[in-house]
Amino acid sequence: MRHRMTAAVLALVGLMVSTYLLLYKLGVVGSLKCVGSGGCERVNLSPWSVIFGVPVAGFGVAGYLVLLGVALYGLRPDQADRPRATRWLAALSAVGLAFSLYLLALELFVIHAICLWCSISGVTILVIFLVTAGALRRPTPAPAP
Amino acid sequence: MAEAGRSLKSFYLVLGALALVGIGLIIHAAIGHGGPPIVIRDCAQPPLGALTARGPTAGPDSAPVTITEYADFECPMCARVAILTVPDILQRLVPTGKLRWQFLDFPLQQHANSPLAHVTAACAGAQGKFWEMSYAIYQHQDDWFEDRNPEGKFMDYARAVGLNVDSLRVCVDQRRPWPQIEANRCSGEQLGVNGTPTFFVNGHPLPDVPSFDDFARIVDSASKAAAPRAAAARR
Repeated sequence: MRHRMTAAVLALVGLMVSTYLLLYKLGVVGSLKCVGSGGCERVNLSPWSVIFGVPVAGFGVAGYLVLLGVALYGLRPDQADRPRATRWLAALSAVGLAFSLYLLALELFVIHAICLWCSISGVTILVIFLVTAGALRRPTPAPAP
Repeated sequence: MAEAGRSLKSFYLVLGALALVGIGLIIHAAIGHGGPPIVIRDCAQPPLGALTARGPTAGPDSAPVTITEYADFECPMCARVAILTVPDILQRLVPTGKLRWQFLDFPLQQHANSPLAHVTAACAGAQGKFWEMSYAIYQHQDDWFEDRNPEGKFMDYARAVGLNVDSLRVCVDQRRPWPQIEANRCSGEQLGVNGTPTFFVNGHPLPDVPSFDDFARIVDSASKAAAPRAAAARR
């Protein structure tokens, strides 16, 4: 259960970060709080910040919402001994992690700027993946007789 | 089992509190940006003080022809002129020495983001890059005109143009050039400007929006007409 709680908290953090970036991209937030010389704005206004007409941050919001939903579903008492929610969390966060690595590569080698908020999101998804994948490797306790 | 239920309840409380804090921070970020709101005032109301119309110029003060453009950064036709015509004017007509090109602000009431765009361009002008910044603002007009607060995008354009973004942000947040922008707009109102772009050639309004070839012809004929007058004045 603890790993699902961790996943829920981190998914909420990721959701907030993605929402902040999405609101910036939509022009609701005027400027991004960032460290360094504007890497966050450069990354989030680059041509790679939109995929198929959808802001990348929008994919983040959707992804973290799903992760949060799955984690909360997995916390229901009737799901406590079932590994299904953890499997979904590990699989979804693996996809998110791959996407984050792709974005990190773009930042490093194409845009040549690092976005602090994107990095926080990347670390968040990495920890969700490690925690849930680690939980899957542990033997499942036998159901109560 | 009861203990697990209690710890789950505490967890939901912490998660809810975290969500509230996050939402609060996002709302703070959305509303708590740099400078105060910019309000376009009625020119007929308080006096303008000592400020007279003054905007960025290209070309010598002694040029026989002065063309003044009253423009609004959110106006699509102004963007068209700025992208398709003004670069040619600056590169081909201004160097002949016959033309002095002047930009004067005319932010329209109905364009919510126009005042900030004018302030940003004027602050860029203080760093010697008005024309570059105004081109960038016009070029990306479709990206920012519907935004609630396009300041971040303007700063990104400023960075691409090579401006010192930190000092630009201070200038923009303090709204330093706004009184001059208001003076420019009110000077246009006094001359009867009621739409943008509006052009004046040596003080005479043009009825249409000319192409580059039209401007070239206008400059040619106006400079020829001005030459005898200048010669007579020298005698």
